[in-house]
Amino acid sequence: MDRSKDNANPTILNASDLPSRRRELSAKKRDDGGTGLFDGLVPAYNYLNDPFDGPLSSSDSDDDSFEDIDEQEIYDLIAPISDPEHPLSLAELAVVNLPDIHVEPPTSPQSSISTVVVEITPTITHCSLATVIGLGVRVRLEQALPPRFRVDVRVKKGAHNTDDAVNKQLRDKERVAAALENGTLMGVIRKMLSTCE
Amino acid sequence: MSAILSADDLNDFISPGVACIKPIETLPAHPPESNSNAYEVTTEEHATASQPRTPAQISLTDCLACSGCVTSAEAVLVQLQSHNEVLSTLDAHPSLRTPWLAHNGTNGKLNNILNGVNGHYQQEGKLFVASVSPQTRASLAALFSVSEVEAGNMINQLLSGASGLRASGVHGSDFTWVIDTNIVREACLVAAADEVASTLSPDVTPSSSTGFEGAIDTTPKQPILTSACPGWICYAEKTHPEILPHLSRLKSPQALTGTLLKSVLSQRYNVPPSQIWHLAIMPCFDKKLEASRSELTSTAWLPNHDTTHDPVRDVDCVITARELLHLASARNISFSSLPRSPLPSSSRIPFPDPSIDAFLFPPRRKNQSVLAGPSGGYMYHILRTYQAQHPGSEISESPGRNADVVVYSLTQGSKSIIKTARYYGFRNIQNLVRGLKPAKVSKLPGARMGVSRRPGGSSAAARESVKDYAYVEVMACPGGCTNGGGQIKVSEVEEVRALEGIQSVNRETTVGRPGLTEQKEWLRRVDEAYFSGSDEESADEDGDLNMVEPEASKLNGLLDEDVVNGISRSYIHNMISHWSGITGVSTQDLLYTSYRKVESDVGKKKQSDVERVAGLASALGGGW
Amino acid sequence: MSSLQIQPLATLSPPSNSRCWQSVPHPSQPLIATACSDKTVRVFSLTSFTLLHSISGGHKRSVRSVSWKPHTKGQSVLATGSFDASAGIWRRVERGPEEDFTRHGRDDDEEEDDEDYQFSCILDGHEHEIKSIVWSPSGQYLATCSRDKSVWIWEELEDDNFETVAVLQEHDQDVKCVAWHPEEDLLASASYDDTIRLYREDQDDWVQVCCINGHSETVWCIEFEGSGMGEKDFRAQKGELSEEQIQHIELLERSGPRLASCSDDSTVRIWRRQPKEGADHANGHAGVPSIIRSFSVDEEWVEDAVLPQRHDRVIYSISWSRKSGLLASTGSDGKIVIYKERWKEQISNGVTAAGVDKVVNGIEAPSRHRMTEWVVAAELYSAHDVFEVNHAVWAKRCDKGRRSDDEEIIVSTGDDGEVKAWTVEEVKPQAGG
Repeated sequence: MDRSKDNANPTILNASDLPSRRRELSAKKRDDGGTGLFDGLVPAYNYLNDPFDGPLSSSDSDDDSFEDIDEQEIYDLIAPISDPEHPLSLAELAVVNLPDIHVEPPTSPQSSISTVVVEITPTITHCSLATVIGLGVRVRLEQALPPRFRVDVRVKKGAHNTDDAVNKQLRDKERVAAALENGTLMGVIRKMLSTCE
Repeated sequence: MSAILSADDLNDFISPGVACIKPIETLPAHPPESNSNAYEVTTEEHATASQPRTPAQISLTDCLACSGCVTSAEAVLVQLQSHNEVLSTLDAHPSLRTPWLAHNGTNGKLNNILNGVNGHYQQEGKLFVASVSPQTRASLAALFSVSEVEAGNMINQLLSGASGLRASGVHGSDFTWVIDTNIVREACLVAAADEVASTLSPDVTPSSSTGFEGAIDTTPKQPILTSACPGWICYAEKTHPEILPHLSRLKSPQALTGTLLKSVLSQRYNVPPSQIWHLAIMPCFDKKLEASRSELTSTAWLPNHDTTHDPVRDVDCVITARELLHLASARNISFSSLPRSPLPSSSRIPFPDPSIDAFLFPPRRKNQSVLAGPSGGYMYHILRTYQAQHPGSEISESPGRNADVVVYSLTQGSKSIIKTARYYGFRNIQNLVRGLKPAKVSKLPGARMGVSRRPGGSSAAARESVKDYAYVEVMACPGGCTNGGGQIKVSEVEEVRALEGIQSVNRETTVGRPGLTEQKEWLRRVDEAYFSGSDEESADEDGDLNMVEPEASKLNGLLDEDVVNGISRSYIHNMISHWSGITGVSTQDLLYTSYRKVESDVGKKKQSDVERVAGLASALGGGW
Repeated sequence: MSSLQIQPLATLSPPSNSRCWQSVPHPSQPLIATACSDKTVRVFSLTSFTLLHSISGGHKRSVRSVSWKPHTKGQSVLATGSFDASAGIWRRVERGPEEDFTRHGRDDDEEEDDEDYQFSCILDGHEHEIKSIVWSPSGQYLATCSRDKSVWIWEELEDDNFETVAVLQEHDQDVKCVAWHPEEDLLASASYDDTIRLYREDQDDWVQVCCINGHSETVWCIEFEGSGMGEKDFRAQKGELSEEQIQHIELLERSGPRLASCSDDSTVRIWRRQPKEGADHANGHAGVPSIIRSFSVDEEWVEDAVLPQRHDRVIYSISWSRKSGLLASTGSDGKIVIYKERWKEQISNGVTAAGVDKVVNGIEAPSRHRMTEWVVAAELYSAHDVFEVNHAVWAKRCDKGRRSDDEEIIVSTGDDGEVKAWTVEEVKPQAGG
C-alpha cells in the first residue's frame, strides 16, 4: 500500500459503474435531510429521535414501509458521503462497497431489532481518518434508518493497521455520543454528509 | 512521576497522526516578535533548531500544543533525546578541548559568529559539556550502594575519564566539563529569594508592564509558584493558564547552566553556541520537554539576534539515570566497575573565565540538608533568607493533609513574616490550583447560584490560605524530584543490578510487583543518598542524617544576613553581574524566562478542520 | 423457567425528547434523578411519577451520570458528571417528606430560588468527558472517572470545600464506571481497557490493590452486592443445609459483598474476594517472610459466576437489589433480564470438599464445583420499544399501589428519552404459562 501521508492518487471508481437501484428514495428520507439535520444537533443533541412522527410511535406504524430495507438501500444512503480529504464520495473511493454491507434480521421472534453491518475499506491502511469516516457512516445511518436498526460500522479486516482499535471506538455508543457533541468533529461530519441528498 | 508525561504512557502510543507530520518548509523562520496576542497558539513556532532536518518532522513545540497526542510527543522526545543521540553526536564530532584558544581576541564581534561559516572554526568539532543533577547521583548511589559523591565521581569517570567514553567511539570524543547543577542552583536560589522580595515589596505593582501575563519582564503575583518542574509547567500552561501570572520567571538550574555556558563562551570567547553541545542528566523525562522550549534558546539572550539564523538550544539533550547506564553499556563500559575516585585535578581544563571557573568548580561541594527537601530547596532557601533578615524569627512547620503538603511560617514574636508551602504530586496540585481560582469564576455560568448558606464560611477561609502563601514549591511528582519519573524505579533495581553483574547488596528479594512499602523504602534510600554527601560526611558509611544537626540547630539562631545556607548573596550577585558584564546581556535575559498558554487543541488557526479532526481521531484511545 | 414477571407500572412524565443515560433513586426520599443528553437533570417523584424539577443551565454538554449524597439532613445534595469534563454539586433544602408541587405558574423568583436545586460548586480537573460519578456510602468521598483514563477521588471537607485526595491513572483507556464497596473504603472502576481495578488507601495514598481481567470487551458497569445480603438472598432460607452449603455461606461471609460487572462481551459476571488467610494469621506466623506482608494491601478477586447469557448486544447496566439479591441487566438489545441465585442440586460430597480445600489454599481450580447457580427469573423484550436501554435500577416502590413496605420496582432509562417504572411480580401458578 501507498505509505505516503496523503493518498494522493486513490483509485476512483466511475460513478456510472457504482451499484445503484436507480430508485427514488425520497419517500424514506427525513423531511429535514441533508445538512439541515445537524444544525439543531450541536446545541440540542437529539438525532435518534427526530423522526417526522415523534418518538412515541416509531416502530409499528413504520415497520411495513421499512420492511424491505436491504443492502442496496443502505448502500444508497452512504455511497454519496464525501471523503473528508478528497472531493470524492466514499463509493467512488470504494471505501464503502455493496458486498460489505449486510442486514441481519432480529435474533429472536420477540425482538424487532435488526442489525446493519457495514464494513468500510479505508484508502490507505494507516489512514488516521478511519474513525472519522466510520463515524460519518454510523451517523448517516442512524439518522436515516428507523430506530429499530442497530448500526455496526467496522473496518474491513486487514484494511487498517489498527482495525481492532478503530472498531472498538466506533462501537462505543458513549464515545460516539460525546464525539457528536464536539463542534469541530461535527463540522467535518456535517460537511461529509452534505453531499447526501 | 509527572501526571502529564510519563514513560508508562508509551504503551498506548501508536504513531504520530497525519496532523502531527508537518513539512518543515511551511514553518515560518521565526515567530513575529511583537505578537499582538500573547496567548497565541504555539503550534506555528519554529522547529527545534539543532535537530537534523528531514522533509517532514514533528517539532516538539507542535507536539506540546496538542492535547490529543501527548504520548506521541513523548515518544518523539524520547527518540530525539536519548542515549543514542548522545552516542551519535559523540561519534559525529570530535571533541573540542579549548576552542577559545584557537582564536585570538576577546573582541570577536558577534556578527562574525552569526554570519555563517567562518573558515577558522573546526566546523566538525564540538565542545561537549554535561551537567548532572544531584537526584541522578542519588539514584545511582542507591542502585550501586555507593555514596552520592562516589556516584558523582563514577559519572565523571564515564563522561570525562580515561576509561570512560573517550576509550572508544569514532573520535574518542568525551565531555570537557561535567558540572554539578547544584552549583548553578545556588544562583537560582538567590534569585528566587530576590524575586519573592520584589513581589512582596509594596513598591512594586505586579504585572504592570506591557507584557502578557507570564512574560519575562513581569513580576509574578503572590503566591509565587516554582517553575523548575517541567511536568508542572506543561500542565499549567496547557490546563490552567489562569495561574501563569503566579509562576516564578526564573529559569531552572538545567536551563541556567545552559545559558551560562553558551552565553559566556559565545559572547566572550567566540565559540558559537552551535559548537557547544550541552547534555543534562536529570531525574525527570519532562526535562526533555523543558530543553525543547523555544524560550530557552540562544534567541533569548543573543543581542541583535539574526532571525535568519537558527536558534540554538541552551540544553541540547537530556537523559536520565537509566539512560546514562544504557549509554555506558552501549560502549561496553560496566558502570559499576568505573573508578569511584575523582578525576585527577591535573587533567582538568579550567573554564576560560577565571571568576566563572571558580564559581562552577568550587574546591568543595556540599549537598542540601533534609530540611531543604528533595527538589532543590527553593522554598527553604527563601524562608531562610527571610529569617536571616529578621533576627529572632522562628520557622514553624505544619504538616498538610498528606506527606506531600507541608506549610511553613516564619514568625517574629507574634508577627507573621511570611508563609510558604510545599505542594508535591498531581492531586495536591489540583487543590492548590483550585485554591488559587478566583472565588466567583465558575464554569457553570448559566447555573442558578445558590445563596450562600454560610456567609464567610470555612471554605472561603481555606481558599484564602493558599493565596496567603508568599511562595509555594510545586513539583509534579509525589515525593519530589528524588522520586522523579526518570529515576531508577524500584521495579527496575534488580534487573539493572543483574545487567550490571552485581549482586543485591541486601538480602531483599523482590517477587512479583513491588508493593508500596518497597517503593517507599527505595525512595527513602535515594533520599538518604541525596541528603548525604556533603564532603565532610562522605566518609560516613552508614549515611545517617547526623550531618543535618548543625544545620538544624542553626535554624532559629542568628545568622549573617548575607550568607544563607552557606550561600553568599553578595557573591552570587557579583557573579551574576560579572556574567552580565562580560556577555553584554541583561540579567533579566540571562536569569528569567516566560510562560504562555498553550492551546489544548491541535492548532486552532491555519489548519483545516480536517487536520484538526485527524489530530483528534489519531490520538488512539484518546481519540474522540 | 421464569418465575417472575416484569409489568409496566408507569412512564415518568413528561418524557425527555432526547436520550437519557441514567436514573438514580434518592437514598431516602421518593425521588429519582435522571441524567439527560440535553444537558439537564430531571428529578421525578416516585409517588406520582411526574417531573418535580429540571436542573438546567449548568453543564455545557450531556449530563452522563448523577449521584445523591447519602445521609444528608434537611437538604438533598446531587452530584452531576458531564461530558463537559466537569462535575457539579447541587443542593436543595428539603422541607417536608412529600412535596408534590408542580412548578407551573410559579413566577415569584425568591420562592423559586428557594425550591429549586441550586448550583453550589463545580469540580473540575478531568481533561475529558466524565463517565460516572458516585458518592461513597458514608458520603465522605466522591469518585469520578473519565475518558482521560483517570479516576479521581474527592473528599468534601466541609460543605462545598472539596479536595482532590487521589488521581488514579492505572487504566489504559476510557474509564466507564466507578463503584464503592458498601462497607469499606474500597473503590472499583471499570474501563474500555476491559479490566476492573480496585483501589484503597494505604498510608496516605490511594493505590490499586487488584486488577480483574476477565471480560474480553469494554466493561460498562460494575456494582457491589449490598451489605448483609446473607439475611436476604438465597442464604436466608436456613434449615436443611448441608455441611458444604454451610461452609459456602461462611466463605461468602468472609469474602464480603461481591462485585457484579457487565460488558460489551454480552456477559454479566460476579467476582468474589478471596478471604485473606495470611492477613488473619500473619501476626502469629513467625515463619512468614516479611516480603509477603508488604503485599498485604493487595487483594485477590476471583470469578464467582458467569450469569446465563441472555443479551446479544452490549450490556450497559446492572443493578443488584439490596432487598432481594436479584440482579437486573439491560442493554443495547432493549431487554431487561432479572437473574436469581439459588443453591445448586448437590452432587457428590467428595468434589465439594476438594473444592473447598483448594479455596483455602488460595488457589482456585478452574473446575471448582460451584455451590450455587444463577438462573433467569424474568426476561422482558422491547422495554423501550425498539430503543436501546441505557440503565435499569432497583428502587423502592412508593406509589399508592405499593403492596408492601419492601416492594421494589425497576426503573429503566432509554435512548427514547423515557424513564419507565416496572413492577416485578411472582408468577402465580395459574397465570404462568
